[in-house]
Amino acid sequence: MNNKLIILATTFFILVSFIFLSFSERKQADIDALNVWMLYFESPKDNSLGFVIENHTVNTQFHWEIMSDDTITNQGDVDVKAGVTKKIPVSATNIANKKFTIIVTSGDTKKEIYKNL
Amino acid sequence: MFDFFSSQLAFYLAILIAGFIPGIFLILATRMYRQFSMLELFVLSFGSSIVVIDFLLILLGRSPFAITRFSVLATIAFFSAACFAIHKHYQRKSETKISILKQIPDSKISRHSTFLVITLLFLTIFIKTIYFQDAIFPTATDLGHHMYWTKSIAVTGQLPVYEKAEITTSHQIAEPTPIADFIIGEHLFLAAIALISGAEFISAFPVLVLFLIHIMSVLAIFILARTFFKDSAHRNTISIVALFLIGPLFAIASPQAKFVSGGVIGNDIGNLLIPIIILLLLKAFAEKKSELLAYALFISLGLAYTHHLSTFVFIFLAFFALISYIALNIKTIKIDLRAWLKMLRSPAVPAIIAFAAIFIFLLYTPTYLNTKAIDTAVGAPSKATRTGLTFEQLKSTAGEARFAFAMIGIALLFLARNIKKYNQAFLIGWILSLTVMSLRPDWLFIDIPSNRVASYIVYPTAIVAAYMLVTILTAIKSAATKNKNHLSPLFLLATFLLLMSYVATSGLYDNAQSLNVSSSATDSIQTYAASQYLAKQITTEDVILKDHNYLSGDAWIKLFFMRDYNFPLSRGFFKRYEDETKVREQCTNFMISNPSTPAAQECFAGTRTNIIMIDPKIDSEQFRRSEKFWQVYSADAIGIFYKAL
Repeated sequence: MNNKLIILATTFFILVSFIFLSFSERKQADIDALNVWMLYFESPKDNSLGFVIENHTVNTQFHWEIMSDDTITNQGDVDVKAGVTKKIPVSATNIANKKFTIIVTSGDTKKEIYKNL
Repeated sequence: MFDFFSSQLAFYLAILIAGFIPGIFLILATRMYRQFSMLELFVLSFGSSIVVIDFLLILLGRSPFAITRFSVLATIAFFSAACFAIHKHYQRKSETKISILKQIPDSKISRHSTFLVITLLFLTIFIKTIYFQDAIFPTATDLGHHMYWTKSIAVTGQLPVYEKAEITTSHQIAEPTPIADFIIGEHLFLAAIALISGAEFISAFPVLVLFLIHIMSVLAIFILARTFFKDSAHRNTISIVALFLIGPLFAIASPQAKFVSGGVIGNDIGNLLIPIIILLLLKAFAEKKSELLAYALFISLGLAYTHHLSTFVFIFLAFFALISYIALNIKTIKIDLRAWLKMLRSPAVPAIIAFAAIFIFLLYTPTYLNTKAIDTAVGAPSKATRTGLTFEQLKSTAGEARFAFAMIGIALLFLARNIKKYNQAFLIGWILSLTVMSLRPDWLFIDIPSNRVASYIVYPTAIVAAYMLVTILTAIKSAATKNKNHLSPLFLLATFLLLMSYVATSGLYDNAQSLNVSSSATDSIQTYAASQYLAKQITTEDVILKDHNYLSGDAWIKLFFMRDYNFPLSRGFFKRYEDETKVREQCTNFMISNPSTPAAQECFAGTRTNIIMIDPKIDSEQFRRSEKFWQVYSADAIGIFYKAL
């Protein structure tokens, strides 16, 4: 009887611990709870300049600028809700031998990506 | 929420099917249930299941069938049915009407002891759970490496081919060559659970499985302590104190919870299988039962298919136990030798040896059984980390209080009269072998990291320290009862409290020192998100290089590509590039640290590396200065650069 009691108690403790840890891991793995956002090119290897804002913060207002060398060639504001990935298409001409930098700001955070075409 | 509950249910079902069912049926077929108590059978069924799953999956991998959820379930069902048929056959032969449960011997644990054991198990699981709360999200390097091979079984449906493609001295990526660092038993059990449950690899599942293995190893020490001191009047007390010393105290430091969250799979399984093998051997030799010896050999074979270091430790342990036995029983050794030979000649033992030979020579040879790997482990210590620990370091590894009591306990063990001769020899052999292997590896011609060997010492230390502590306390109590001393009862109580405070403080301080400051999940999730992005973008022409020094969870990146164990290429710890014992490739360092130098350019050209993953706070400037690189991905914890020219 006592052996069974030890086995049952151990199984119960392990089960409770595992459920708690699984739930905890699930919460930690939720990227929307991390307050981070990412900026990246839709196609990283070609000459296209279309980019993506992936938002996992509560701040939904993003301002973007495209700079060609030191000149702003295009800019805009975009609303990206938490947990949403927004593609921003960019069409540009006369792009050869120039550096294009995409700067995105949200609140007091800023990120940039660039291509030397 | 429904997803969460269904995945939980699938996981626990998988644990039951892979972790207990094969072992239970093996115990039925071999009639081991008549030899062990319910608690011992609980631990034995789990340990046996791990070994059975290993051999079943190796057989499945060598058959024309792929390793899938269906084939794994069918194989377990077939094995269980075969075992049940054998059990029924024996039952008909013996014509016994007694139920199996009634044939299981009672181990007689008193009500008070049961309450104490349950309380200690609760504390053990509770303390470790608190630690795992911040370590449950998978980020550990070793675990990432192991999960690559586990996932490869699930993805390909084949046994893994342990190979990796390395960079040559001419800066090319060579064809994959075999690696001896991994052993199949480390991956098959986890692969079976992943396949049956459908669990994600980047989830809590690997750490939870290792946690379960670890709790079982703690229970194994408890039942082993009961077996060692079977004839002692203080059997219950010694085993409970051993559980106290291995459970809630020193609960986090290596090789306990840290090895679980760190994903040191081989050690974790080894620390479960070694006590089980000792338990089987003690009973086999004491009761002269060859079927128990055969069962012990079967589990030992499982150990050999799981972890070379644990196997190595076990071989030395057995050797030292033999020497101890001969030294302590020199008068009866001739009679014992005859009894041992008789056991070895029984049909069960040669059958297991034949089974082992078939597996090793015909079905699957463990990766470490090659000349190069054996040369690496045997011989004079080749590095400073392999020349042995200092006494102070060994004390710290074993836990100060445990170590102090265990050292005095060993001396007492030699003189002990209330311990059976085999138990005495195994206990002395176990602790002495690990002490010598840790402090003076040159005496035994072993060339393996001393701190890894020393981590095994905590288990025998807990048992011997418990024995010593109980012996001291009972001696004081007995002296006081018989009024043989002139010490006041108050002083005796103070001594008892002082000793227990010393033990508890030492163990709890060790726990506090090992607790995590914070979880590394936030940065790792960004690493995984960037890896997912790249997995959708790259082709077979692209070669990725990532940094191991500053990126979190980088060992898991390879699970997003499943192209090669060495893909992406990795800039390792800086000290690795200054290794004086052998020439190391430098490309992975040059290509991140100084990407514009001619040496790095040669490396880029030779390896065709064109994508770099780095921590932007530390390593982005050198890429921004060069016109050849584009920054194509930006997050707080990770940046990706593309080499366009």
